[in-house]
Amino acid sequence: MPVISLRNVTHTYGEGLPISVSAIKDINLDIESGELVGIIGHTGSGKSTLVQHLNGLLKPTSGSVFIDGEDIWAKKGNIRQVRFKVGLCFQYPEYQLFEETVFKDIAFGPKNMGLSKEETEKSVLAAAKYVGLKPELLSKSPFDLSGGEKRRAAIAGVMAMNPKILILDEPTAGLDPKGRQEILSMIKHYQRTTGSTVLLVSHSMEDVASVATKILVMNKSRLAMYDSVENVFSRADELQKMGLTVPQITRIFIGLKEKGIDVETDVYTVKEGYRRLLSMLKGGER
Amino acid sequence: MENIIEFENVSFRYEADEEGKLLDLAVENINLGIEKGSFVAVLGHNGSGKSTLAKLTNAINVPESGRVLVNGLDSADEKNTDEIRRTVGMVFQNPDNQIVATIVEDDVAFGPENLGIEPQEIRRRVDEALKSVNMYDFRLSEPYKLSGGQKQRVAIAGVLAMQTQCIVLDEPTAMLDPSGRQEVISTIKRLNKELGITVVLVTHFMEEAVEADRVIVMDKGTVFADGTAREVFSQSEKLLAVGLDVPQATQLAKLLKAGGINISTDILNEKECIEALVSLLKE
Repeated sequence: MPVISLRNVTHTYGEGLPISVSAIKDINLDIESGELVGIIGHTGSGKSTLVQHLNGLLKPTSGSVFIDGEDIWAKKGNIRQVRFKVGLCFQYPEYQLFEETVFKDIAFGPKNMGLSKEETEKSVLAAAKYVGLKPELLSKSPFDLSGGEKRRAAIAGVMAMNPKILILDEPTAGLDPKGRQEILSMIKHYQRTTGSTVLLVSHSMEDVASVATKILVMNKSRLAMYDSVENVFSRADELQKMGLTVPQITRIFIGLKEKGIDVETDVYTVKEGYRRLLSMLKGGER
Repeated sequence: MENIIEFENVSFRYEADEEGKLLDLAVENINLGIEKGSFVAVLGHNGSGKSTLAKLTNAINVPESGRVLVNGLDSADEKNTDEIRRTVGMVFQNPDNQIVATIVEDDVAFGPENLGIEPQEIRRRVDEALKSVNMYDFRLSEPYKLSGGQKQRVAIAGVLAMQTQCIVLDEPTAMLDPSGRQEVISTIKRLNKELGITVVLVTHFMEEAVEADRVIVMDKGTVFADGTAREVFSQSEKLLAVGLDVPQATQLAKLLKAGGINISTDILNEKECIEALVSLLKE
């Protein structure tokens, strides 16, 4: 059974008004448990509206959202539980830190869930470990942390609720390459060890290519693709028309093919590109 | 070629925190000249001092010691501030924080209006600025309806309308989608090539930096590397050591070289990489 199911979900802002716009239209989607889904799409394609439906921040104008097979809007008062199950971490989450200490900030979610003091502490320490925050930082004020540390603390605050589904909106925006890589490896590690389903909204095709198991493409309020990484990036022309792109390494293979070299273009990491070229070039020497 | 901006032994630190504890220097003993008409990319990890450096170019930051000269004018002298800001304009990361008006052309006119320029002249400058960033058709649009890339181009037009000679952009594409990034980068390249405007681009994206004539890498508040894109990116180990990266095309060439393939390792972009590979594969 899929962990997330959407059936004919449409969301219209300002419904009934002359200025009404549908931010997402007729979305049908099934996401299996344990996937790491990269969500891509141009600005205004509906990515944020889509993810805000998954934890009940937005209610569909029509259609249904199922988490674990349960329609989240069927029972009154159910949404609070859904928000614990589906953790959403917004863009630039470091602006949302507010507590006196990093520990208290990370503990805010689990405390609200009604966990005991011991359980809360356990969750906070586990989350801090996942994001690589040193224990001595936990007693500091969040405002004394560096930019990268703040970002991690904010992500830890969502992880500490042990959500079954973790959604991160642009977790690497504004970070330097090393910071990006660290956050991505940490997300991958979290997904692998906890078995949680992770959704990662990103503008960086390279980031998505390096960690995702599947890619979801939004275009003009509709679901354009939901498929494996290689299948999505093999449709470079279509992506380009949607204002997206494919990783540079994929563009190199597409370029080679256009020049008449016999290569497949389903390459999306440098490692894989290297492996294939090496065997072709070494093969040629023999 | 003469320099439009000169850094002479420049050090700067931000004001002490609430407890009065002196902060470390954000940049230390910088000596740099930015040549008129050049396109310079500034790289560095978060906290390396690159934004501080950018803000020193137009008197948002003023050196603690040393001097910054813009067309020969010392930025520490308040009498020069207006002239310096007219010469060097800045564009920041978040497009939503730098648009002030409710109509695109009003926003672009904001700068020249503040300079007390004649209305007809403002009209002319606004039209010209919007045309040069390909946003003239949107002159009557409401900024909130524009995409991120379009908003950034409006911000650039706002700077151009001041008849700025140099534009300093501090991570202008960090919040944009791929096509938005492309729009902004091709716009600034064109302004540099066609109008001769000096461009200083602070960025985290290596693929953007390879487009520049010169790449400056900051680390711990000092200049860590300075040269052409090819010179700088050929030292990938050094860049990795300071938290940076090289483009995937360069990474691929390095790996192949290490794997015993006779390929040049100063490849910068996909075009060069494809050409090198095609000639190897067709041999």
